[in-house]
Amino acid sequence: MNDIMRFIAKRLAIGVLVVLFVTILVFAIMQMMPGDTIDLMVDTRVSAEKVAEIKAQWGLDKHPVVQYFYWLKNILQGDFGTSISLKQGVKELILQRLPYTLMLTGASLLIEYLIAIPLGLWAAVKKNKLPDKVLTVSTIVLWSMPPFWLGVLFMMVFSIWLGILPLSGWSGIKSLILPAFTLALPTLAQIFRLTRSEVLDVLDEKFVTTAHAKGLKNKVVLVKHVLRNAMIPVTVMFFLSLPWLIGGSVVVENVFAWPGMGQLLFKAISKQDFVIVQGVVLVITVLTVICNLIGDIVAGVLDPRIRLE
Amino acid sequence: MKETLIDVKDLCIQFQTPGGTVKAVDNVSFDIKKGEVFALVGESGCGKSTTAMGIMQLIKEPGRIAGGSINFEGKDLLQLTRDEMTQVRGKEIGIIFQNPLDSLNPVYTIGYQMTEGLLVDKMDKKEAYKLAADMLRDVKISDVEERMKTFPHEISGGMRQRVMIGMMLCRNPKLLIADEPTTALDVTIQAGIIELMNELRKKYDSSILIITHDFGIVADIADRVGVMYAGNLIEVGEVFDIFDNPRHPYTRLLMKALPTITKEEGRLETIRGSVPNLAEERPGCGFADRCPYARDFCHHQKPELKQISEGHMCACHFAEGGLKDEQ
Amino acid sequence: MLKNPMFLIGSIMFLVVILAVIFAPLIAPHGYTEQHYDDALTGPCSEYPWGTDQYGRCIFCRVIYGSRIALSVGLVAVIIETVIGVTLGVISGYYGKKIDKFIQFVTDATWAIPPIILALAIVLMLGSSAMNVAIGVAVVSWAQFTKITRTKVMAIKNLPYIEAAKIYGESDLSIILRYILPNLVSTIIVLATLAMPSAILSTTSMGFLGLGAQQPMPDWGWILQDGIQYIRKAPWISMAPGLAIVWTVLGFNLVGEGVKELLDPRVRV
Repeated sequence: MNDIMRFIAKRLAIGVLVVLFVTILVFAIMQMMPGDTIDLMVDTRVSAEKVAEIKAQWGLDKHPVVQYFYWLKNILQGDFGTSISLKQGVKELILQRLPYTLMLTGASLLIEYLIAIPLGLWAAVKKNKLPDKVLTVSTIVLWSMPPFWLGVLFMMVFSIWLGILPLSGWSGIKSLILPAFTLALPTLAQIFRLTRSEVLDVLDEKFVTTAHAKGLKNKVVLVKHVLRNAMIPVTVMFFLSLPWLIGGSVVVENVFAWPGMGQLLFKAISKQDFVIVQGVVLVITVLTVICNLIGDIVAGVLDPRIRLE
Repeated sequence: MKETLIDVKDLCIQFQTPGGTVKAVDNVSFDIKKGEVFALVGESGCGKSTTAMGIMQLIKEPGRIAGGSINFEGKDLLQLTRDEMTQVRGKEIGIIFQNPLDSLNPVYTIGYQMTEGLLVDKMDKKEAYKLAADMLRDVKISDVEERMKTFPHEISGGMRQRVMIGMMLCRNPKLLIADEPTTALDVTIQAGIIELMNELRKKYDSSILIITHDFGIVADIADRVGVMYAGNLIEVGEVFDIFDNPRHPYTRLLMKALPTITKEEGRLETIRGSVPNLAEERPGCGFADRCPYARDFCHHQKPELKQISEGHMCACHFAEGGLKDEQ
Repeated sequence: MLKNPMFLIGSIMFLVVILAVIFAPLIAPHGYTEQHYDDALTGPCSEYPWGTDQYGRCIFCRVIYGSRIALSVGLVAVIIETVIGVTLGVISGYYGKKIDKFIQFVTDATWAIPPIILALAIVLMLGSSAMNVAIGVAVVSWAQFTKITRTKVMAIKNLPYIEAAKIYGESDLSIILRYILPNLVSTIIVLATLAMPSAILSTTSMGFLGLGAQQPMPDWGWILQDGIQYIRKAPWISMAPGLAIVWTVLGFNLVGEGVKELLDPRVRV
C-alpha cells in the first residue's frame, strides 16, 4: 500500500510539472500573438492614452513574466480571473460549460467502447474471414471521415430529412445523440483496431492453449482468459484518450453549437482572451494528468506483473 | 497384457502454407496401455508435438487433422463434437507444455488457475480449493496457502512447471501428455520433475505420453518408445529394445549421437544432411537422403511400419535383414 | 503488398487525387473564383456538376482546385513533423540519459494538451494562412515519429559496426548521418505515409474553423463550413468538399494498410 502511495505522489509531482509546462507554453504562445485582447476589442478611434489606461486596468501593461506569475498566484488562491472579452468570471464560465463537455465526451467514450470492444473481439476470432474483413474495411472508412463532415451529414439526415433529432444546441438529452456519435465514430476505429490486435496477440499466447487444455468452454476461455488480458491496454487507452476527445470536441461543438468548453476555448483563442484560454487549458491539462494517473493505477490493478513504481 | 487406453491410427495432420501442404504428421499409429509411459522422441520439427496437439485437438490454423482415428476408451475422439471434446480435455486427457513461463495466465493467481478446471465439474468451491492445495503439496510445493495467492510471475520456472503438472493432474486424467516438460528448466530441476512424474504415475495410475528429444529422460521414465522422423513414426518398441537393438538407421544414429561415459572422445556424432522439406511430395523413405545404408529403391518406395519381433516395429526396407555396419 | 486489394484500391483513389491536382484547370469547367450570380445556389446540373454556392461559384471547380491546397498543406505538415520528430527521436535515442529523459518529458507533456487546441493557438499566433496551418498541425503531431525513431535508434546504436566507428573516433554527427539515418529511411517513409491522412484531416479541420487558406481560395474545410448556413436549401455545398476529404483520406489510409506491412513488426503501431 505504501508503494502505491509513493507511486501516486511521484506521479502527481510530475503532473504538477506537466501542468506548469503546459500553462507556460500556452501563455507564451498567447503572448506571441500579434496585438492583444484590448487591441481586438477597442475601436481604432479610441485614443492611445485611453487604450493604455484600459490595459493598465487589466494588468496588461506589465511584463509577460509578471503577468504569468500574477495569474499563477491567483490560481493557487482559487481565483481563475475575469474574462476581458466576456466580462465574466472565468471560473463561472468554465463551470457552466464543463458539464456539457464532460457529458459529450463521456457519452462518446461509452459509445466507442461499447461498440468497438465486442466488434474487435469478434473480428479477431474470425480473423481473415468475412466479418473481420468487412469490419476492418468499414472502420477504415469511418476513420477517414472528418468529424465536421460527419456531423453535417447527420444533421441533414436525422434533423432535416427525418426530423427526429434536434439540429443543434442543447434542448434536452436528445440533443446529445448526434454530437456524441459524431465524436465517437471516427475514433471508434482506433479502439476497434487496438482491441482486435490485442485479442489476436493474446490468442497466440500459450496460456490460452492451457485454458483450452483444461477443458474450459470456448466462451469461458474467450471472456475469462483472452478478453480479460486483452482489456489491459484497451482500458489504459480509455483513460488516455480523454484529451484527444476534448480536442475533437472543439470541432464537433462548433458544428452543433454545443455549449461546451470547446466552443468557449475556440472563441477565447480567436479573441486572444488569455485569461479564459489559460483557465480552460489548465482544467483540461489537470483532467488529462488525473486520467493518465488513473490509467496507470488501473493497469497495475488489472495486470499484477506491472509494479507501480 | 494390459488394456489399451488410447489407440492412434493413421493420424494425419497437415498445415496449409504458401509453400504447399506440409504433412507435419503423416499416417502415425501407436497405442498406449493403461498405466504405461510411452515416449515419442525425435528432432525438433519431426511432428511429435503436433501429434500431441492433435490428440488434444488443439491444432491451430492453418493446421488441420486430415485423417485417421484416435480411439480413446471406446470412442473416436475425432468424431466428437466440439462440446464433447471440451469434456474430454482436462478431465480425461491432460497436457503439460514445454514452457511453464507462458503456460499460466499472468493475471490470475495460482489458486484461481488450479481450481478453474475443477469448478468445471460443478465442484464446490471449498472442496476444489482443498483438492488443489493437496495437489500442490503432492507436487512438492511448500507454503501452499501462501502460494495459492501468488501470481505466476512471482514464482520460479521450476515451481511453475510443478503448478502446471499439478493443475493437469488434479482432475485425475487417465492420460497425461507431457510435451517436453523439462526443456526450459535447468538440470537439477529436470531430475526433480521426472522423479515427480514417476511418483505421481504410480500414485494415480495414469498413463503418460511424454514427448522429448532427450534419451536420458526416456531411459528414466518410459516403458515404450516411438521414434519420429519427418512426420513419420519410424520405429516403436520396448525401451530396452530401442536402446540395445535399434533397427532403423536413424534410431541407430541417434543412439550413436548420445554422449556416453565410455566414449573415448568427447565429440558428439552428428547426422549429416538435414531434415527434408515436408511440403514436398516424397515418394520414398523420408530418411533416404541422409541414410548411410540407402539404396536406389529407398528413394522411390516408402517402407511400411512392420513388426520385426514381439512388440518391436520398424519402418525400414532393411529392418528384417539387419544392417551391415558400413558407412 | 501489391497483392493487398486495399493497397490497390487506395493507390487508385490516390491517383485520382493526383490527377485532379495536376490537371485541375483542364478538368474544371469554370475558374474557382468565377461568380455567376444568376445561378446562385443551383443544384447539381450539367453546367455545374455539384451545384453552386451563394455567389454562384461552381462547387465542383472549387473542390477540384481545392485538392491542390489540401494536398500541399498536408504534405508540408508531414514534412515538418517528420523533420522535428525524427531529429528529436534520433537525439533522444542516440544520446540517451538526461537528454532522452528531457525529450520524453516534453513529448509526454505536449501529449497532455489536446493537439487541436495547441495547433489553433499556434496558427493564431502565426496568423491564418495555409502554410501556418501546416506548421501548427506539424508542431503538435511529431510525437509518433519521435517515439518510433527513438526505439529504432536505441536498437541500432549498439550494433557492432557503430561501436567500431565510435572507437575509430568518428564524430557523433557523422555516425548519425552515415550509419543511423540510412537505417531509418524505410521506417520514416512508412511513418510519413501513415501520417498523411491524419495531417489532411487536421489541416482541413483548421480550415473548417476558418484558419486555413483565406477567401476566395477554395479551402475544403472552409467551403464545408460556409455551406452549413445553406444546409436546407443547398446541402451539396457542404457535402461535396466533405466527400472529397473522405476520398483523399481514405485513399491514403488504404495505401497505408499496404505500406504498414513493410514496417518492422516490433515497432508497428
